[in-house]
Amino acid sequence: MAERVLNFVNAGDQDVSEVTISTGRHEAGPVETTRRITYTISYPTPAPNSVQAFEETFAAAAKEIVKDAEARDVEPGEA
Amino acid sequence: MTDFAGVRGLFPAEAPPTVISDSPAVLERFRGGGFSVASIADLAAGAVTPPVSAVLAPAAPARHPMPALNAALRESAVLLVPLLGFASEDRAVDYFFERLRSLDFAAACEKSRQSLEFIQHQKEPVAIGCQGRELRVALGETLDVFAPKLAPAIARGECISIIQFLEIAMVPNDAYDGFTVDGDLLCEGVSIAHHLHAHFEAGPIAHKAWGLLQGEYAAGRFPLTLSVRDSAVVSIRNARGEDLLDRVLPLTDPVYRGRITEFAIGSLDPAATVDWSVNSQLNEPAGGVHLGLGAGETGAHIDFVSPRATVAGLAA
Repeated sequence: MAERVLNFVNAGDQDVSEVTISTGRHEAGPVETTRRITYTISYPTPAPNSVQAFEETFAAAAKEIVKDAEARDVEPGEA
Repeated sequence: MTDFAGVRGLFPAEAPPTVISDSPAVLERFRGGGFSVASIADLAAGAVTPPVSAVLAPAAPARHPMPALNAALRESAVLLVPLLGFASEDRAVDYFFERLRSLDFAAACEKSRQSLEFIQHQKEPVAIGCQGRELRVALGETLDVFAPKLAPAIARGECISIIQFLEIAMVPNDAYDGFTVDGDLLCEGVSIAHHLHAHFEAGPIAHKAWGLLQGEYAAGRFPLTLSVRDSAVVSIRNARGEDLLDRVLPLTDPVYRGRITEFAIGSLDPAATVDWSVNSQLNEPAGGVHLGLGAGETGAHIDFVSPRATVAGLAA
């Protein structure tokens, strides 16, 4: 296998911008929030990461969870 | 190490950090520890001058991000401590305060660097062992890694989440082929998180997940054994052999549900002072490795932590 490629991903617009290790300097870039496991408040504001976009996405997802729970007559989140 | 020398050392010596929070309990605790403090409300309203160095610890239910707060701190060196994303009751605040007191960021950064070099060059699957359980993680040609902070310093204009100093975390890439997990992990404790910007949506579900797993812990039914095949979790058995999988999975996000969303190597030493009855971000990197389920966007992100697991080829 060739040298492994490490993609450094960040969570916000004032986050770590680059990571330097033995293989050189690697720039960090954004990914969508479902793959961010570092919890920050410093998100870039442009769509699709805007507050409005988040709220619409979450509202739709939450509605699905509630609808599913109602259909099964359980509390949201219950198996 | 003297009290809080590690966290103070992240900032310029001439600009000791001000602790900023929306929680009176957080402000009181840190004021008692000799820190300058300010409220988020005062800072966002322009009632106080933005500090050069800040420890930002949002802990009260609120809608994030707060544009006025971010604008006020744009030129500051900021260490973010997202208590709200884990737990922020008084006991959790006290626990965080005490753990932070002796946290050695420089040592953690060095461990992170070693871990990162290891995964960069490791050709064979990563072999992880703990008390007879074995886990193998095959790393792909392309691997997405959460950008870590490898030097114990925060520059002005940077906002760094505290966990970035404390772990090397691998996350799914677009093709979900960055890492493949197989085997069993012995889990001594969990940390459960949700994103701050999703607090009112994901927070209640994450809280429920914590209630479920904390109930197991309080009843003496830890450690858990997480069994994973081809990166899908097939069972989560408690110490009595009962499978919790069907109760846990619905509390995680639909996206990647049942699939591993994080494989991470902790950069702190396993410590006797770790209290698994507290949902703390500082427990997640407390040695060994951890595996994550869920994304924390519409449900819980649950880290299953094996602090005494050893990684073959990587110094403990």
